[in-house]
Amino acid sequence: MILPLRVDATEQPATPNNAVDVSLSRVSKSFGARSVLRDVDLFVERGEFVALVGRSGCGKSTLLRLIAGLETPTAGSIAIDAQPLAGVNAWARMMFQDSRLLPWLRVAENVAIGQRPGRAWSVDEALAKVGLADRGRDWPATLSGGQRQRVALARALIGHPPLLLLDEPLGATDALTRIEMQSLIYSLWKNQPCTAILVTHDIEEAVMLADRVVVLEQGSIRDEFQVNIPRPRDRADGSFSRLSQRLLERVLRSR
Amino acid sequence: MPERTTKWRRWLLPWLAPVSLLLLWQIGAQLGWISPRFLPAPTAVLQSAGRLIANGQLFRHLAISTARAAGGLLLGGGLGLLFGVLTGLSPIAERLLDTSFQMIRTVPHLALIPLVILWFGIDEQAKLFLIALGVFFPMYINTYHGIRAIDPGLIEMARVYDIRGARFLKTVVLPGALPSILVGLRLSLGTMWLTLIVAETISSQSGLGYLAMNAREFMHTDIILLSILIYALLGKLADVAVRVLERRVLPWHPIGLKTANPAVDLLTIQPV
Repeated sequence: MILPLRVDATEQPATPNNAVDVSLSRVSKSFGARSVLRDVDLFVERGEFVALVGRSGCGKSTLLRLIAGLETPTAGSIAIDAQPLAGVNAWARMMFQDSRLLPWLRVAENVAIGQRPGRAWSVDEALAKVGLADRGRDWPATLSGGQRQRVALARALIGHPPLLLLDEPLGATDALTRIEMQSLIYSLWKNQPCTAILVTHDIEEAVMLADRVVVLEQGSIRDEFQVNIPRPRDRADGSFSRLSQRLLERVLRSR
Repeated sequence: MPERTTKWRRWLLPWLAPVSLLLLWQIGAQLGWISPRFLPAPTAVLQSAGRLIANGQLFRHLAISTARAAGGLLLGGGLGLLFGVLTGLSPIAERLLDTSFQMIRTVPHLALIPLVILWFGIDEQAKLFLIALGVFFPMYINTYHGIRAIDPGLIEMARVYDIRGARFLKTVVLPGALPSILVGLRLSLGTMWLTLIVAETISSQSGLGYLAMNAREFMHTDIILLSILIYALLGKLADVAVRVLERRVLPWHPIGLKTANPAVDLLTIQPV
């Protein structure tokens, strides 16, 4: 008997050819007298998806901003592919909690802002990937909040960045949109591999997307959880909910 | 209410008050209730308008006034825009200049007239200087605030996406400040006409203000009324021009999009 051979290009594990690794050694950050991060050591492998979770004020957003080069560490060093980071991180593209689209540019022009030198998607391709192929000519003000985040995602990914930084990108969206966006982020990341670092306060989101979840507490890394659940992941799955529960309890225990 | 009547009403209502007033005025003048020396009939004003158009005087004075206004607006508005961008972008320029500008701004620029006459005499430079001075501040302040009010999140996004230098100015700063700059332009136009009238009334041999002052000496109330009317028309015209400009250059703005609030009649809202 000959089995029908089904080759689905999207199911092939893509190699993270242009991804970079991120290495933080003894990174500290304080604003004036207030210390936000203390001696953080973190290594993110090429193509790895890491989620940073913790209570608000634990320093997880600051950590991401340090990796983006938007802030400079008070002590310690950050390296991308062993090259020390100076100034804004040129490897990275970032998605924020608010879409931060330029209201005076049309959707397509906003997406084009993310283009980087080298072979990558066209604006039309990027918009099609996020399901907004027909909205290129529209103004951002006419889109819903979820659609704006889709545009922001297209802008972040259009140039195939080696490093994707996500700063609570779905924090302001409703529950349904959030679930849709999570699977969109996952499928785009899988097809166009890059190193990804996600800051979130949503434990399920972290378990859904990440290979590894890092727990921050009072400016230090206190715990790590490897997520060994096969993808695509299912919320209803037993191992999924068990891990989510363990993580939640860990974060709740923190101060 | 049928669609048609509401549409008619919308167009007619704004004209109701001025047209009734004009009719009342005409009737009053014709019946002799109002002395023509005090207030000549609208038709008399119209007649003198026809006369001044025919002998070319009206056009001459109008052209001179418009040139003065435009020159002052270009000079003062241009400088206001330039310094507004400078202080908006550079903290050093802001520290250096803003306090001084804010201090000078509190002086009514028309208070400088005696000084300006001493400096420039009563020729064109004096008028140009006064108009430019009056126009400078609304333009400066609104440009400066427009740039300062740009969402810091967008500026941060521009940093992450490596938008720098001239490209940053062109894609983030200027479009972001444009709504505010246009507000500055509208306020500037108001000051421009005001300054022009005052400057031309005080010391001039030509222009609309001169036309009115000259008519006063000969008791030509109709010509005085005519120049006031023309000022009103020019002011309205400038305002409409800026509104059209706003719609053209701010197509993305929520005011122009259908998302803006419709006007609601607060008097007819019924209690539940």
